[in-house]
Amino acid sequence: MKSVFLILIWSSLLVCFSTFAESTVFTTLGLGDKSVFAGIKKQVKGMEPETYILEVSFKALSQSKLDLPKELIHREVVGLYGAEKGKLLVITQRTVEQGDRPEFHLYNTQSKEWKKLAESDCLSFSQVKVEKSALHLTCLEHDKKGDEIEVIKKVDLPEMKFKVLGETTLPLKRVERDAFKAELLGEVFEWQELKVHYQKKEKTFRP
Amino acid sequence: MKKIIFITLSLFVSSVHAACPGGKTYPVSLTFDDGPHPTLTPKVLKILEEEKIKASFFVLGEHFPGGKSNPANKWAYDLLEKEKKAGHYIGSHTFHHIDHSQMLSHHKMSEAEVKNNIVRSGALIKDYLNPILRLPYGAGSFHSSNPVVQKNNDLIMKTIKEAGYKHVGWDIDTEDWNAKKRANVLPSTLKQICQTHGGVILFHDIQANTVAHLREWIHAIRAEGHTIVGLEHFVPDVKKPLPAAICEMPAPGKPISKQSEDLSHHVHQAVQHIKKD
Repeated sequence: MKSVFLILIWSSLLVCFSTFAESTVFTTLGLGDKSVFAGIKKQVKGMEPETYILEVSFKALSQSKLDLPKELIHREVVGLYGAEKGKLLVITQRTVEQGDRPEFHLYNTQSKEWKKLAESDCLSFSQVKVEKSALHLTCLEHDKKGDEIEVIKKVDLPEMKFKVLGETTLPLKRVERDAFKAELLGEVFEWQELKVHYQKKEKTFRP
Repeated sequence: MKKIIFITLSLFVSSVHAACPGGKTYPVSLTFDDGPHPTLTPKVLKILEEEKIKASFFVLGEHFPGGKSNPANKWAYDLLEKEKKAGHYIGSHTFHHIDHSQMLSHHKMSEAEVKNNIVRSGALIKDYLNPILRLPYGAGSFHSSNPVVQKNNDLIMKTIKEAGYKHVGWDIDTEDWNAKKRANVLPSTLKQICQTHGGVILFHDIQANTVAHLREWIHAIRAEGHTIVGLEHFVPDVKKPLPAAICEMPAPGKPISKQSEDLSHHVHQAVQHIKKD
């Protein structure tokens, strides 16, 4: 009985005092050739938010940290899309106070090189239609009267050949291919666990 | 023992419920960035009047190009007049909505241009302005682990201080502009109020979705027992007179940033529409 109360006290205090002072959360998922990628945002009160990517390999279920170029570390990873030849599209945006123009970078998992491909004047979006070498963003804008409208904006990405085509809604909290599955767990937009299944193996990762 | 059990259970239940732990309630102050907007800001003002709330508006200087001598700006000055008469505070959100820190880090703007964008709105809206300023994206007001960024941030904050402004950040970021988090604005706001023990809430009066839900959000905040107060509760300096330095800034020029043009595009579009009508 005593231990039950101790557990209750401990869990209450944990929730009560887990204030906004510091939080590290997953922001979205994306599938690559041999691994899953997860955007991570670290926020400490009074500090610029910092971002990196966690990569988890399918077979070994091992993790590695992928640092972003220094010009991107204060931006949030809002989209990740795997493409042929080990290429990964990383969409970043400043999300503090107001959204800015999303930027589209290519990360080559083989050469470990980054390259900026494009940016868009689509400040607010969640629907993304993936074509072979382009994305169509459904942007929320305003018409002449101030009413909200949806405007589709195409982002041409000739260097990318995406494998999985179709409609997606960002952020992606669950991805799967064949025997591999990955899912973000926790409160919405404050995901603190990445659960990964491969065949009969299962592992949970934290940012 | 019974007392201990009761307290323990209360703590546990309140910590997992949406209301703040222990039933605590906090003061919050509403702030609106990026305006004024010719059709949306009047709707925000009407809601605030009906709800008897004194809020704060951080306006962009680019909505007042050429100042009062430009008749095309009449709508914008009329809105400032209404805001002031209603007892709201008016702060500067700088001239163009740009990331000043990034502009310096990436050498997209000179130090003089960045300083000019920060301070020059003052001359345009001095008749309405309180001595407060909020940086776009908060960029410059945070600490950075990158020494280059930190050096730029220090310069930006020094510029604000020397111009006579008090920088006003926020405690609760609603992300009301963000399509990805649209359904989460209210739950996230209520949660953050508990986490930060109240404070300054950030909205945008150029967002139709914000206007559509503002009354509902206000009611929900009050239903939790929180009190909506004026900014002076958190920032006493807002009541100080405007320093002379703010009024002696150079006149504005043409837009300098594509990013800023994107953000203000629909505001200008709406103005054109009103003029045609």
